Amino acid sequence: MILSRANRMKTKLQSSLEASFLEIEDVSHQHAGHAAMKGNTAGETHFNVKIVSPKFDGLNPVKRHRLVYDALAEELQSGLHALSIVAKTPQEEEVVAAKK
Amino acid sequence: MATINLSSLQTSPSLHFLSLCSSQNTPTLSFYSHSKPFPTFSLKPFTATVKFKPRSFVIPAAFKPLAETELVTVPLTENEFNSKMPSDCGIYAVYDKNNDLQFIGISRNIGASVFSHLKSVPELCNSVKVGVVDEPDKASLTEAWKSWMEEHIKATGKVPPGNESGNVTWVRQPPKKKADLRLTPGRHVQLAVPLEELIDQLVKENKVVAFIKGSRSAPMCGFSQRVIGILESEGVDYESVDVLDEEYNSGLRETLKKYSNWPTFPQIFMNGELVGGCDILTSMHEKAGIVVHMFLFAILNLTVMPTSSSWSNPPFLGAKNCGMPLALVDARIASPYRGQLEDRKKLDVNIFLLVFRSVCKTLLEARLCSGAKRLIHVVA
Repeated sequence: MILSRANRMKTKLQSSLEASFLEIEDVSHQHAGHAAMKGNTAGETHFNVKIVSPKFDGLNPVKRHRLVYDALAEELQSGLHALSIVAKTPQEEEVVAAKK
Repeated sequence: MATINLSSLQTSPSLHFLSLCSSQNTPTLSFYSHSKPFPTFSLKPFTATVKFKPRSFVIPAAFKPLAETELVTVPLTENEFNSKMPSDCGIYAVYDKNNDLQFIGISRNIGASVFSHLKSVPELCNSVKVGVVDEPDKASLTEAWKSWMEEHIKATGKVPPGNESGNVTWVRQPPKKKADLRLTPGRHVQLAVPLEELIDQLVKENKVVAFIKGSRSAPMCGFSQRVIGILESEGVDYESVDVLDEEYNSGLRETLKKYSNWPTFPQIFMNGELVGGCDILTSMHEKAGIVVHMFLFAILNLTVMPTSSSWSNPPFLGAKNCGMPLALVDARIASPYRGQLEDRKKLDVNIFLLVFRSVCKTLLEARLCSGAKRLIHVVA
């Protein structure tokens, strides 16, 4: 059985970043018409990713996003076009939760 | 033929009812407001001994004729300014030191308009007459403005110099959009240096560079558009490069991905370093204002930075006690840079503080971001 890209992404992020929280949302339909998507038939191209991982600790946003991109390198090669990433450490997530 | 320059209150004015009189030397008139477009209206020439036709418009009674309005000397302190200059809709007349009327303007926020005049042409702003218009629709405002203009023209036979055509002293010019940068002279031109080097030069020579899809005036992807929007709203002077331009930036997309080790677009560089894409820029914008981030980047790129021990040494201790550098480090905006801050070798504290204060002050004066206000508060 061929797994959907979302599922593959989930597995990859989970294993490489030891995510304590991971949410992936396919928003490809929102970008279906845009210029850079012409001729792209892959379907699953745009995702929102929210990920909480201890591996982000001490890293600036650029480095955090790079970790995510690195984990998904194969997907980016094969038609994944863009990600919207929220990358937090467990501590930061606790602070957010405490505020609520 | 006389013309009127209207920087209108709304984007597409239809002020054809404005059959304003003008003298024989056919001056043209302009009035000030905040929005960008400057449509031009043609008016019939008119004799200088002005007689006004009765109008169907009812002029709201909340403002007095120009001659009866109190002349207020422009206050210099901010508090006074805020209390004396209403932030209401209305009209205002600016006088110079010799009490010569320089300009009659119309505004959605009189205080803000006068403030911006005061900043751009302080030598011409000595005192101001203000007329608040109760019904702030376009027609009432324009009528009010006209009545003052007519009164002045009637009394002096002259149009206020600032309202003459071609005089742009009082009118905020729409920011000119820069052109997108091109990396190469064209697809078929053999490059003398590798593309990668061109990118490297570009991002190092310019403070802020945004690699976007489409041009800055017509971005072709939502993320690029948001990035442009944020940079513009922060008033950042930036360069843009269209990665989809196959003619002049051929091969840029793949090369840039490798150069920056970043697989998607847009990409924003500040001081030669990748800041990130749309997500990161958006969160910077929300947290503190990009300008503060730019400043932090600038500090981080200084060769002189405090060691961790110097934070607790005088005179840095004083700074620490007043919230600095904790302000920097703990204002959350800086937390990702904590490590970098402490890595740096040495700092001339006084220079650092001087620079920091002056940057914050500049930011604050330019009203560029609330983050600066917070920062200056702790250092001032």
